[in-house]
Amino acid sequence: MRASQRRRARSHRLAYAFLTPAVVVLLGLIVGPLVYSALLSLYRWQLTQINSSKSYAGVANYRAMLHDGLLGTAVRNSVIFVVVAVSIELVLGILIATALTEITRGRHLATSLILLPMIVTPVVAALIWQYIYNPQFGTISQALTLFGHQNGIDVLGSAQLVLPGFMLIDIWQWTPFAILVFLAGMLSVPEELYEAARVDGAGKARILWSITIPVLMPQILVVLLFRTMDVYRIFDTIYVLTKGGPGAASETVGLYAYQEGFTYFNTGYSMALGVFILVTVFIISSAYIRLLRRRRVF
Amino acid sequence: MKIATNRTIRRNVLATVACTATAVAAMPAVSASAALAHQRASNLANANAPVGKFPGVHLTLSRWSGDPWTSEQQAAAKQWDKATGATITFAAVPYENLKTQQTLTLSGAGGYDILYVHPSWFGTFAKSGFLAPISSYLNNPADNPAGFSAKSYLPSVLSQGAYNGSQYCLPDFVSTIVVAYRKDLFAKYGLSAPTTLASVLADAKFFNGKNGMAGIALPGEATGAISDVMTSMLAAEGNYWYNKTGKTTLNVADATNAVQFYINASKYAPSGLLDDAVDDAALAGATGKAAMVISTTPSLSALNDPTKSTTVGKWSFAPIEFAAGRPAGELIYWNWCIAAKSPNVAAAYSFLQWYTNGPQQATIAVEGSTAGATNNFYTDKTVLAKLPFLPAMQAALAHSNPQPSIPQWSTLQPEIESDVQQAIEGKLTAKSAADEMKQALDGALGA
Repeated sequence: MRASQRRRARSHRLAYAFLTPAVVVLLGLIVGPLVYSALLSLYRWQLTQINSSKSYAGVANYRAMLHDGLLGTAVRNSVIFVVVAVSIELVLGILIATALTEITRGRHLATSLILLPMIVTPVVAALIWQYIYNPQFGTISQALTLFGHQNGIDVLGSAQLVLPGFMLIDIWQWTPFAILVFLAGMLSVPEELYEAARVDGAGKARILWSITIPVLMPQILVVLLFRTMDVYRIFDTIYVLTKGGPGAASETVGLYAYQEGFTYFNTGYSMALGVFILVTVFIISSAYIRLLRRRRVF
Repeated sequence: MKIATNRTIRRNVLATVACTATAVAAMPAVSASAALAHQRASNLANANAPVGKFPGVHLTLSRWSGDPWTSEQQAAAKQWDKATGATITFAAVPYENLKTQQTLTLSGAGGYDILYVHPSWFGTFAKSGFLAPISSYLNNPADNPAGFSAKSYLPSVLSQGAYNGSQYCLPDFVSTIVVAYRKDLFAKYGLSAPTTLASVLADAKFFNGKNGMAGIALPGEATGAISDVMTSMLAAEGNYWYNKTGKTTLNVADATNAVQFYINASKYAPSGLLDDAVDDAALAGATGKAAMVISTTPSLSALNDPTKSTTVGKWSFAPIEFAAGRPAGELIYWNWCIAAKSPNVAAAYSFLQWYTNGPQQATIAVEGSTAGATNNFYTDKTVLAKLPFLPAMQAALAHSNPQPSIPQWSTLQPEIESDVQQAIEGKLTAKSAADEMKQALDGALGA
């Protein structure tokens, strides 16, 4: 017994030794700065006062959020962006992955080509679409001239079109991620399920609805989890193209927090917004993880 | 902070300039780089040589990236390096990142010696102690060429780089907002040159849609240019955002007129107005997509740049006027400052004095469509004749107000520009947009 206890203790020590570097990095680079940010969000200070004394404000920065109309606009835009873009990515991901499973020759080539947008960095993707959306020279405006529309279409300068314009960029770039996850899931579905369904006379649509989607539920939740967190925090594409404009039509919570800190130098408030984003993302992701646990994936 | 309104001094200086400046002369095409190199060599050989020797000194210069200005300054810096023994390294970033980059660097361990500071954040930097005062260098004959002093600068511009009685910066990049118009098209249709903004709108309406062209292009993106145009229009109405004591003086009726002009002009502008910066507006004109352009004089250099324009030589320029006979504009400039933590203030001052002086400014003026801030810049007839926008700029600056440089402007400017954008979108009327501006100014500055 003593020998086995010693072996177990040695095994635990070894495990802790392997975990220590990761824990140190986690504490030093993530948890530590998060806690420090949360502390600094209780102060009223400007970016020019990094090394100066700061005035303690308590929860004033958080109370200010309740009266911040622009924050409300940013949250609304972010929620609309998440709901619409992620829904479309989900549906397109399932449909395209289903189509790819039907292909026997050339599936790898088709998959590689479909995944190309995902490997482009978001800033480069934004610059590509800036040219596509250009009302004078862009592809879309030029294509519209073929249908007699000579004036060009102003996507990035229109309060009505700018958010759908960004959704299109996001869908173009990140639907491949959904396709990748769903394709892997679909290829692991036992063939016997499909054979049994076909023997019972089920068509393709019925098979998709009654077999594929239920079996894919864990993958669907994973895609929803990752894409919701990413889209809610979106920053780079919008910063490069419109910086939240025109007006606040494309303002999102991530961009707003940045602008408060680095444009208007209200750094204390910016940190409070960062904490707000963290809490909301935590709530959303907790809900998804609870759903995933119910599926007994973990 | 004292607001410069030395109109008498400005008028006298500009009267001197008016005697020497002429209309655009048709200059033969010459190799730009050869001419500039010759000019720089001449500058070094004569009394405009840099003052001081600084062997082994290394300076880091922070500015926005954009050509031809950055490349020209890098070439100039190499000349200065050769003359003084020092070395200048450039840290050039996109304009929209410059303020943040400078703030973070200056708030931390430092690392910059020379800074290009926009008026909208000069007040914040000066108040935060980021900048080194240069009064002792500017007033010391040993640190300047013979005859050079504070009086060498246009006083209304130099005073913008002062804070609490001390001089912190030396100015350059003098420019303003003007109206550029296609003189060939105006002649073709028998129209006289635009004068008041009402005639600008009428001409824009006339040209809109002709040959696939928009009537007028102007900046609508909230990057500071809307504020520049608004300040120019307010100046044309004899109004400004605040007074000498920093209290708001905005007249709602004047602001309403200015916003209304923006709303009306937007109907004749190319698609994408709210996404257009000054360069986009100028490019629309340069490529024949707009018959007129309202923008800053540096951005309008694209109109006669053969690498960007299909309409070279077809443009004339007019100042902004609400009422006939009272042209006006915003005095646009940038400040060259020295970081408070710089260990090389003397060397940095030597470069700034040399670079902002007339002869050096002349080397960038033609390509960059900017003007210097020293009196001797305006006595160089050769350069003045090559600046087609200069008569319009002179007229505009006769009734000008400077770009705001109070610390609160960095938060006020985005609010003002957002109000204008919402008015263009139809979400606000011109009057309600003006009311919102007044409210923001009252809240930040007090009435």
